[in-house]
Amino acid sequence: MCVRSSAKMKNPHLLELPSELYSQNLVLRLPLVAHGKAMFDSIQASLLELKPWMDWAQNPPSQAECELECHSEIERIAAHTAVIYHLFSLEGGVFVGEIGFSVIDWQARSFELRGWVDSRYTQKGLMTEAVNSLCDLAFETLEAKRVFMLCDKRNSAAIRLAKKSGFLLEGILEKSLQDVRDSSLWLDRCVFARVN
Amino acid sequence: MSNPLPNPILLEIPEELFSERLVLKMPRAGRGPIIFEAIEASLDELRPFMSFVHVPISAEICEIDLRRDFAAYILRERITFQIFSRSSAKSTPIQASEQSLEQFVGEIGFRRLNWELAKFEISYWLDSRQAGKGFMTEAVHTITQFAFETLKAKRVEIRCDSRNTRSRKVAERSGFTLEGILKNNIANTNGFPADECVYARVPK
Repeated sequence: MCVRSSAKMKNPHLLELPSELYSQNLVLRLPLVAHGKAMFDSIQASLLELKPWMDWAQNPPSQAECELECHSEIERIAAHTAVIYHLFSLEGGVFVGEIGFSVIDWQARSFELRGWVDSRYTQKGLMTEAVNSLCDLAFETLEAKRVFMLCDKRNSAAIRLAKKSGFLLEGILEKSLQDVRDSSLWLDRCVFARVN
Repeated sequence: MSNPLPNPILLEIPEELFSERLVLKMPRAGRGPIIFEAIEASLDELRPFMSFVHVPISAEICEIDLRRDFAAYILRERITFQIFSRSSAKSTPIQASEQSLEQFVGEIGFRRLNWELAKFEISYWLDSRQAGKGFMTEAVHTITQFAFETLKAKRVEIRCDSRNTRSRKVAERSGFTLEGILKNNIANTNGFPADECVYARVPK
């Protein structure tokens, strides 16, 4: 990865990611292969809510594929092409989802936020806490200038989350992606962002 | 200034404060292990907002800190109470063995004391297993009354991270007014700047 060195910005390889980030009801932990089974269980419990929005949920991964995915996440984090955390509720220590930056422009210090929460743990403000923790990390440690998220304009849960977390709607990208369930349809996506 | 307070070291502070279900006790050597056990059982709930659980702790360290709290209590530099719930009805100053009648619930005290201004800041933590019973609200009530009546407080404060909803609810239920939210005034336990709520009560 080529990043033009700048007197003011640290080389991403030198940035340290905390292994845990705590908030009121949640702890964000770096991925481990051992999380694979819990991830599989959460996905299985959440297919109804994930399928409309996530292309990877159309063919849900098996437990082995989830473990491989955890492994791939660890590699991408080490290579600094992604920053991903797994969500655990403080009550009971249960895996409840994932959040991360899967598209990072280190040069521009621009980070795209993505995530999902187990359907059995929605409506508790957990994803809002996760977004706040990760944005704190981005702006304070990763020297982010911009954190943004893209979502289907019909995804009202994501839109509510974005607004609650202090993101501003910058615009709507019309017909910018094929619908995850019907490739003959094109969907409109909202761009929400927080800037430093 | 109308009635200057005597040197606080000479001020009589009771060794125990009673409320309907609780007794707040001044620090006494020997409680280290039960404090440590309560912290261990509550780590996940304490970690988001209490920095004291992010350093290594043990029963020995809790005992040492407790004895330091006792010294600070005598000097009136920091006043800490251990909170116990009482199984019996009303207060009896003479108890049988502490362990058999009472359950350790948490700690509450004054962590910033300004005797000149009679201004005191309350801080507290609760054993997670004792949550949901209104114990902390009751303890805050008790210690606030004590502050106004015995310490002649002109101001009692509670400060916390603006995201610490549980602590904010305790403050609000105890009749404290949110005076303001100070942006980036504190660091949270992740090390990031956080907003601080300032709650206060003043005598009528």
